[in-house]
Amino acid sequence: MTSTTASPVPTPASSRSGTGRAKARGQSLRKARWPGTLIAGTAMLLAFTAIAIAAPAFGNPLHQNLLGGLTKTGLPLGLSWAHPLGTDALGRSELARLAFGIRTSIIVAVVSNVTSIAVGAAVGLAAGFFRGPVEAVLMRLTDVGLALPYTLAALVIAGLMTAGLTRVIVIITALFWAYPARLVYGEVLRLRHRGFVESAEAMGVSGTSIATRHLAPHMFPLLVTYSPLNAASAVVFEATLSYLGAGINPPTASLGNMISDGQSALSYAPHLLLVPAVAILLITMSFLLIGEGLKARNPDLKRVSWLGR
Amino acid sequence: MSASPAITASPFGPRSQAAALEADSLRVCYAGLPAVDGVSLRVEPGQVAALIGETSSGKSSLALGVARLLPSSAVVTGRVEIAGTDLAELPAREARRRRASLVGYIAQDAMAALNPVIPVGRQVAELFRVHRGMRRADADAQAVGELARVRIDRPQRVARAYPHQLSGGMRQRVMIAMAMALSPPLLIADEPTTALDVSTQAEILGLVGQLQAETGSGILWITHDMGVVAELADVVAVMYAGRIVEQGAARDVFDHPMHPYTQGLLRTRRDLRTGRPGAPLYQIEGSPPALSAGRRGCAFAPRCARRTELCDERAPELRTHDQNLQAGNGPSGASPAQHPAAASSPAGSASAAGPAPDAPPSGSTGADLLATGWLAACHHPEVLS
Amino acid sequence: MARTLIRRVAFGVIAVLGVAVLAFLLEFVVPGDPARAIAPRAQSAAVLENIRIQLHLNRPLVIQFADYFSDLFRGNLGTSYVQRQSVTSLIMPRLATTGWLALAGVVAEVIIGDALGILSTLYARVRAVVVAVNLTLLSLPQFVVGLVLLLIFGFRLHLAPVTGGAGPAEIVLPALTLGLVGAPWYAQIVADQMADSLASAYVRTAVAKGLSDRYILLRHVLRNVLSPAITMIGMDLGAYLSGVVTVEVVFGWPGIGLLAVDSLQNLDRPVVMGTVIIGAVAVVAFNLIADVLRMYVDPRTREEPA
Repeated sequence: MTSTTASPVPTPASSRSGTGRAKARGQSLRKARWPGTLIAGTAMLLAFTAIAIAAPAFGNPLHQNLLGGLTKTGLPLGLSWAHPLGTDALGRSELARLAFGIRTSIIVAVVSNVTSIAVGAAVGLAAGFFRGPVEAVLMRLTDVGLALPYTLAALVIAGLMTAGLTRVIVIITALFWAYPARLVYGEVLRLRHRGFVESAEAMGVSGTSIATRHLAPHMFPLLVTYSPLNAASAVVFEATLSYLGAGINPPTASLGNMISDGQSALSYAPHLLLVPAVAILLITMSFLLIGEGLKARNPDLKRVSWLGR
Repeated sequence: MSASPAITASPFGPRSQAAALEADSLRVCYAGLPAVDGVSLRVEPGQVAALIGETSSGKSSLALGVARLLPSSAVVTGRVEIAGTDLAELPAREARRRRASLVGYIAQDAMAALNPVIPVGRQVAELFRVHRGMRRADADAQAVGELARVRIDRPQRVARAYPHQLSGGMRQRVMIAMAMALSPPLLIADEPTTALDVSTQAEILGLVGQLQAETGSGILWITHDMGVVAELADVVAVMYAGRIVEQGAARDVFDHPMHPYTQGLLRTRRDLRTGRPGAPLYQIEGSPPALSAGRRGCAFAPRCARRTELCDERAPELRTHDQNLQAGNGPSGASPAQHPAAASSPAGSASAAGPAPDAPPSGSTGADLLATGWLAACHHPEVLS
Repeated sequence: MARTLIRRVAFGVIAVLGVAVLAFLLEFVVPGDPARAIAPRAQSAAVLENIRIQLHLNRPLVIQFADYFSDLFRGNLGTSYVQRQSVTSLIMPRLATTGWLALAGVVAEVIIGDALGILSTLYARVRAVVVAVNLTLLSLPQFVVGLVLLLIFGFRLHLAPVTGGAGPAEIVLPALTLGLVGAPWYAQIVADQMADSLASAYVRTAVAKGLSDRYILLRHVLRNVLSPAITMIGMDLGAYLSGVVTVEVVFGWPGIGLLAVDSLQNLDRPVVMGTVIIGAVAVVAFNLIADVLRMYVDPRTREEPA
């Protein structure tokens, strides 16, 4: 307002209100940059990452202590000072197994999040950019990906591979790429109507260059906002796969197969269910909180939703 | 017209008939900031009053405030009577029922203002079902009649259509049909032609003119388009930063604008019409101020070509061109003799102040201002604090 | 509108066929010999070879592929290796069992979710609680919620059976599990839509028309809120019908998901493929039904987007 005033000297009133506005805007920006959900989620995630890195410090997850780690009748121990989270049916330290289970979850979340979004973004970008047959084939393929019965398809793919981290990451990538592909495709279609793509085309910029230099950067905020939700889904799905025996198999610890172990002891050792369950809850929640925080920072991206349980 | 005898004492003197709209010191605040800052306005039955202003001048808040249609976060104070009835004095339920028969509201964006999932005929018919207790078939038939009344071809067919299936002009006609269905004494049109193309605008304007001649409603027509005003309005009020800065008979305001802002608006328009090709269009520098509490001085001063130091101290007092607007004699009663002097004559303006509704604080203030070059166009200054 | 529908049906058929091809190819690269799975104690190679000939497993993959798809187009999903009866006759009763659970689950999630959503829109005080509940439910996998419910209501309170089965008493916990896990989505969508709708210009118009709050909520707001929820109900019904595998495993609910898991372990290829294909059909069909319903409720969705 002051800059367009006829007089070069701002009136006291206008300058006062001007600084007031600037100050208010500064505060709201600061508040928007770090919403409480984002702080809480990041703090939780950092804590879990620290546990994942320091997992060996919590003990040996594979050491079966059939004498000291079980009751006289051979049942798992409850919580005590010697065994902070009790022991499982084989007398192994539940705390050590939990730490390694968290390590598994964090690795799966980070790696499969990157791979699935990378594949999805590439497909969506290609489909949105190269119209015609490429678009038709890729988007019908995306339809197939979205129509797959997730758990069944995962079990089928699981049969192809040996148990372990790689299997889980491959399965999650194979099933999770379709949603970000459609997200990116929709965004590209929206952007194509904007001037800059057309003007780049008119200036003779090559197709690949437009896709990678002009369009891809615009996908970044969308994908950054989507990725925590994707990572949360990945944590949940890894647990599900390992629970069904199609992910990471014992004796390697995963939160899912720990729960599977705990299921048979549900009536007499509920902590074997509850300990890993709470861990899954908190890891997933940390990602969801980050996702909420990012959405709060960028209200344009509210339409991103956490689909594909 | 459902004129109510409950007319309270008014500063505007005696009159024979309740005004279609009478607003006194209306204020609308959002979060403590005034969007409408003490506006008094009167619209006679059968009169078209145009309220002109830029975007964010508070004209839509004024319109919604008059109809008590603002969200609860907005604080509305001041007195508003529609055909002699003050809606704020009625219990909420009663007020909601009565309002529909007292004021018809035509929104700017008919697409958003019509329910997207209900056929438009049904939306008109609802009024008759709720207010006239008609059965569905009768109400639907009546609604078709209303659509025909706003010159919609094949009204039966249109009645079954959904808003998104109609053109912008058709949607606006439906809005008008809804607003006028219960023949309210006051119609508020909030920039109803802004979103339409020029020829459709003209049709809508013609339609409203005809309908008004039939019903005799008073119309408060809100617009930023001087062209609309010129064709339709009997009286004009110019709004800036939440206040009315000038009002009077349409001809007077057009021929002898006194406030620099009004002069600027008119000059913009004159340039558009008669400007030589290639000549730069006149434009008012800057943009309207943001909402702020406790503003000192004239809100237009930062953009005013003729501002003085005093403008930052004191806001000018509103004075009308003549008493027509307030005395309710109708616009035809205006005569040049009653006008204050033209903008170039400070002395004339001061002397013509006469029986202004709110007297300026003191005569000497006026003299001081004249001495320091305060322009007559800004009427009488009033020390605010 | 008809064109939109035809397009959607065609895309749906293509998607299902794609799933079928994919399932076929995947199934045939899965390691393991079905013949050995069928006769685990068979010693002689001749017996195993005989089984392979019977099941046409000795033919080239292309021929098997052609056979399978020509049968598929005639509505024949093949014969189970293990159970020696048609896949269709195996799947259909299981589909019905899963159908009951899916329906009960959707009803539960709509009730719980709508309650949460409406509560948080209308009462500012419970909003924080609802947000926390939503976040917790969103963060838990289905099988964890199921097991916790089983622990509380089955093993601790002895209110629900813990032995599995498909009776009216057994349906409560699995349906509640689906309901709790699905509820946050409905809560979110109902709250968002209500907030949007209540603040919309058309509700202001309705208020200006002198309609009562009750009338406006029922006639003007509800239909606009309902429209996106319908799409979600369709998506969920389809997804649940394609096998709520983990919930069926947790509660021993003998539905299509449990059948698929068993068949996978038995290397019963035709049954696995049958469940995957039927699952895909369920997903696609219910999405389509939801779209048609939505077109009925929300006229704006009737036209093809430009």
